[in-house]
Amino acid sequence: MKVRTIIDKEWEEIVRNRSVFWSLVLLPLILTVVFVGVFFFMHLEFLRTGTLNMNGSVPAYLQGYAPVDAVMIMMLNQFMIYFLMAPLALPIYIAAYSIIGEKQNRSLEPLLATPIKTWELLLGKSIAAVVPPVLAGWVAYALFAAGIHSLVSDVVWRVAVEPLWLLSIGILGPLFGMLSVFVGIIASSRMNDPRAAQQWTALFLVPLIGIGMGMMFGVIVLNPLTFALGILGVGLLDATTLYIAVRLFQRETILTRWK
Amino acid sequence: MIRTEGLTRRFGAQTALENLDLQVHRGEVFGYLGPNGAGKTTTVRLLCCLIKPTAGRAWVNGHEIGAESDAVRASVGILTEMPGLYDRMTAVRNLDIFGRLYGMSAAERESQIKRYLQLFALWDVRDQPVGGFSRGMRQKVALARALLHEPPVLFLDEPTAALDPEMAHIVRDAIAELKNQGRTIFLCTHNLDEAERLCDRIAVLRTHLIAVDTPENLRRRLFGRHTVVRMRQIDPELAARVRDLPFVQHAIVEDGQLLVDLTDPELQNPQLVRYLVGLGAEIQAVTELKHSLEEVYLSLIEEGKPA
Repeated sequence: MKVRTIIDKEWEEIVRNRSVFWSLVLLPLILTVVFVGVFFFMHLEFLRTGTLNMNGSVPAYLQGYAPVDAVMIMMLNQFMIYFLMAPLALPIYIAAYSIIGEKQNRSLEPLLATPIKTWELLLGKSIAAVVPPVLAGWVAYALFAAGIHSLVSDVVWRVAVEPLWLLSIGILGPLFGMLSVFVGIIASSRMNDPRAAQQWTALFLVPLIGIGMGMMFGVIVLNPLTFALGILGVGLLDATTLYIAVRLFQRETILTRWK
Repeated sequence: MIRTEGLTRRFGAQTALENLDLQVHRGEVFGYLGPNGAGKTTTVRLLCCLIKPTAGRAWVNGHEIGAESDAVRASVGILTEMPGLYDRMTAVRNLDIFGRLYGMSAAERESQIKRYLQLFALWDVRDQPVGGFSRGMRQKVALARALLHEPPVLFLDEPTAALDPEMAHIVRDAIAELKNQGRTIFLCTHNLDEAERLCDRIAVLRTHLIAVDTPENLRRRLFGRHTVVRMRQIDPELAARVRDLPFVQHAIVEDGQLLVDLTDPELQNPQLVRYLVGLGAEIQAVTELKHSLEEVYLSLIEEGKPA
């Protein structure tokens, strides 16, 4: 009940804070339109010339596909990485705002004086910060998949809705989102300014973007093994950062050390 | 209702509160006075279970701080120095969130929110974001938030700061009404006039407790009791004759009035008046010289300064 109250409060604030709300809605929406647009123009090019050419050689994992499908799948994989990693980037805005915003408003003290438990407050804030970006990522992915359906061959379409991608976006995405929130909470506990906290959070998350880069260049290929390792690795990171965040997110620390 | 035993809080090498022994009774308005940095906020935070003591114990509404933190928090309402509202939300939503956190039902929340917003003349602006409110209006919303769940113990930090005189009067009346309902009110204030008017007892703090008593007893303890006798004409030698009386501790003529120190004015004033009339004095008025609470406070603070 109290967790729900915190979530409701946070979401109401997100909706009423236009800069946070639009950063959440516009970024996925614009990128989805751009991604669908890229496929639209590739489709037009294919209709015009009957083929699509790639600069350089076709990566090994795309050997065996028709050239047009190989180009589209390579492009698709890059875009899919965005949908997978989006929950990592988007909660940074919300997490930093939801905690530092309370500090700046001086609203934490009355909130902490209620009979809410620290874990309830932390859980409420974390869920409130994770769910909207994850949903935004899922909606963006659904719009993207629907948008390219008539622009690509069945072979490419099957890659776009491949169960492993769906599982990755459905499970790994939220795990990435939680990681971002917990790192955001840790950064917020040491800073005053939401922008500084966002930048530090982003800095901590840079190594994870390496995973995306690795996938983009075909160094990491999504298969059941890499998926399982991803779940395990990000899950462990989540647990570790959650532990640190809970240790730092104590009433006393917040009131006496947060400046 | 509130009891502390050796309550101490240190932040690193700095002692914010030292060895506080205090007892606040049910239904009492207890003034907590002290300069900035004296440990007032630290005390409130300790008693609301927001921070832990370095040493000592305390009980609020029968619940021990630390051991029964949730029960303590459910028993108290707190008005912090800054209102700390959610600026983008309306007054109703701000209160509703806290009502939910205090476990109130929807019907209770609705009636209590209406009651306090009407009491503080905020009902007409209930659906406006509080970010656009004046400081005084925000303070009133914060006060309504502290009262919403009808806590038996209230911690009020400068409740009338930033309020106009009319609203300050309403808030003081509300505090008096809460006292009549049996609520215990722990009032941190720099407004000595307010403390004088509202508080049954006051404590003066400067990291450690300097004094705690009723304002009247503190006055007597510090300045004694002086009877002031105003006469149509005063003989400068009169003071010397009055000093000869066995029950008079001291007497002087000052500003054309006779000032007499007595140990028990209620008993000895009639004897003094009879004596003066016997000497032919034409008495116009007999009053008691009252030192202001400000004088009491400043004197106590001076007394409590480290050597």
